[in-house]
Amino acid sequence: MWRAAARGVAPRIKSSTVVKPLQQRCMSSGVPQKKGGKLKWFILLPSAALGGVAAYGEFVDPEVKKLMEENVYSPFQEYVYKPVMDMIAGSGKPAEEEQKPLVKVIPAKPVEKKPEPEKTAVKAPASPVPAAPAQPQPAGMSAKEREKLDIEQKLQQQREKEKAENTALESKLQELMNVCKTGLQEASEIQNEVISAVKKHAQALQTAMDDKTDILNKEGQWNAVTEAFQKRGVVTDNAKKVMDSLRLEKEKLKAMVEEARNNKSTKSNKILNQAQEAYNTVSSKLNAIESAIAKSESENRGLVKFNDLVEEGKKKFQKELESLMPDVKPGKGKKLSEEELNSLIAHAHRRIEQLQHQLANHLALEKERIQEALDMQRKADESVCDRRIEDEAQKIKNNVDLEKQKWGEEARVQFEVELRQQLARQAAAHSDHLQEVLKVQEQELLQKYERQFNLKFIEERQAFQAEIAGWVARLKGIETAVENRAAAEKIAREAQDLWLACLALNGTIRRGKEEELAWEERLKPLGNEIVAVYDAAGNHPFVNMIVSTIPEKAYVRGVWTEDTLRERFEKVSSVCKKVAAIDECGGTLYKYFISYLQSVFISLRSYDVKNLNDQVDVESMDNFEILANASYWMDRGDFEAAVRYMNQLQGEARKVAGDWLKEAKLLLETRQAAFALTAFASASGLGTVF
Amino acid sequence: MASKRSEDEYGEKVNRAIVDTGVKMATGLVVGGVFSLVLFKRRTWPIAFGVGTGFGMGYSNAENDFQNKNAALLKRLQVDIQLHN
Repeated sequence: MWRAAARGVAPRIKSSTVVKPLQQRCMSSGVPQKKGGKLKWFILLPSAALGGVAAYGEFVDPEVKKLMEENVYSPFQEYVYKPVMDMIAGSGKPAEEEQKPLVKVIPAKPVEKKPEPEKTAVKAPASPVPAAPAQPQPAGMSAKEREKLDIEQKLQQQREKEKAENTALESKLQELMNVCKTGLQEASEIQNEVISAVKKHAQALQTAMDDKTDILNKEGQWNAVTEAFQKRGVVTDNAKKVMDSLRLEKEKLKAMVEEARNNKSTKSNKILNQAQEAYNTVSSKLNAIESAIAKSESENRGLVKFNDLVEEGKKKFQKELESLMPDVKPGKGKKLSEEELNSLIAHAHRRIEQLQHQLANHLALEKERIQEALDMQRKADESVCDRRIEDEAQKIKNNVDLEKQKWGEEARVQFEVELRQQLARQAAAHSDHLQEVLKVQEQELLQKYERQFNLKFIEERQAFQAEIAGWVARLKGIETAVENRAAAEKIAREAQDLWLACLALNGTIRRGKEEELAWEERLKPLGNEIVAVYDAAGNHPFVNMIVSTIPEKAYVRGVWTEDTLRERFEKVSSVCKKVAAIDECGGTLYKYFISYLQSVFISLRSYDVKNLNDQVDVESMDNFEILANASYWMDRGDFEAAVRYMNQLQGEARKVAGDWLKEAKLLLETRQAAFALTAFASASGLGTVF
Repeated sequence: MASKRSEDEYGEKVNRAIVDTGVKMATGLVVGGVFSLVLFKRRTWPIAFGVGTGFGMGYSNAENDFQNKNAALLKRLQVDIQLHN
């Protein structure tokens, strides 16, 4: 197309050369459009919409945000987010952390209080509890009352929490105590078992060692011994376990008690004392059990030691035998050779000698040994004793502590009661004193106040009266002024009324009944207007007089308007002109004809018209001159002058113009009266204006 | 239609005069014609006579209408009194 333009040829634009739309172009090039292109819009648009709404709710309109939270965020959180997070975390932790918010202790507030007797240690110092219970207050309470209520509620919460803690503690302690008791019973049983086992073992051992009657059953006896030993071991282990567990429980109990004592909210729980006692008993019993077991063990230790020594000796002997006769194995049924026997006997003798020697030594050192043993035993006993003493001391100390606690609590309670009594007494005394003082003060103040009040009152009253007098005078002045003004206005109003009535009269005189076409029907009786004027004037003599001059015909029939009279004048003047030469006798037809002929040849304009102020010699004017004058002045608008001239007509012309003249005279009279009245009204109106 | 205006009286008088005269003339014509036909052997002079009579009557009526004999009498008497005095 542009090439065509370049060539200078008008470019022809074919419809086929219009740029094809994309689709067609693609189609024509053979690449089909992606069918899945719509999917992304399904995702993008809603998310864009949500994002837009969220942003809008965030920055512009909080209502929208609320809506979004209700309908979109919270369901999403509940049904999608939380399950997912739970699955990820494995086991969902219960959301129980809301149950124990630490309530801050509220600082002192100067409110009258009645502190509760049992929980004084629980509350912070001087945290008040208002006397009124936490009833639901009416909605219109002040901020202070609301604060009180908050405090009450918090304290209530705190108390409840403490109670909960206490009960929890109690239950735990009870549990623990029960456990300890059962453990203790078990332990005591086991103690008995252990002691019995130990004794049995000792006995078995004793029999095994000393009993020489039943040598054949030595094996059996030693087996019994080992059995007893094992049993003892087992039982001892059991006992140890039990005692360990019991000790743990005891420690737990003690720890719990300590914690509870340290925790302010549960410090003064009675169960603590019980727990303490239980602990004491458990520990003491445990100690007793342990000491009993130790005692029995120590008792039998000597025996075991002896047994060990014997065993040792035997083993030594065997070794020596072996060393002497390495070939001989005991227990074998082989007969020993003589040498061996001899050596054996020699060795035996030597051994016997040695032993005898040893024995002599031992006998010699027996005392010392015994002393040593006694010392050891004494030491052991002492240690045991010490332990026992410690245990007892501990027990006593615990008891003393417990007693102390109890006494302390009792004393506290007592002190509290006493203190309260004293305070009450003091408060009563104080209030009595206050009452008296207040009464006296009240009287004084009342007197003072009355005196001052009376003085002030009198002052005020005087001032007030003076003011009032001033105002009353002013008011009176204003009243007179207003009355005068009202009178003046009344006069003005009356003048206005009169003036309006006169205007109406004038208007009626000027216009008559305008809607009629025929002259006679335009007559409007002036009765109403004149009556209005008469009324508006009150009873003014001037008005009365003037109104009386108005001819009756004007009242009854009305007057011709000037315009109509002017119109009528045309005809009148032409007819008058035609009969101008005829006098009042009338005339023959011939005379009429001659008069008519004369009028045809005379033009009224040819006459010189006299000025209004000139003296007029009426006799010298003939009808034609008169008519000329009259019509001249009529044309110039001077109705009165025209009427004056017309009045000078003579003869037949006069007769012809008679009616017209009558009407004109009537109009002039009425108009004159109306003008007089208007002038009067204006004058009186002007008078009132200034 | 009777206008009581004084200026119209002149016109009315003239109308009446004309009408009256015309009527009388027409009547005279007719009577003269009749007379001419009946009595006077179709001569023309009764018609003319009739018309003339008619005209004359009409004219004298008109003149009486236009004249005001009372006023004339009064005037003459006034003049006489004046002359006498």
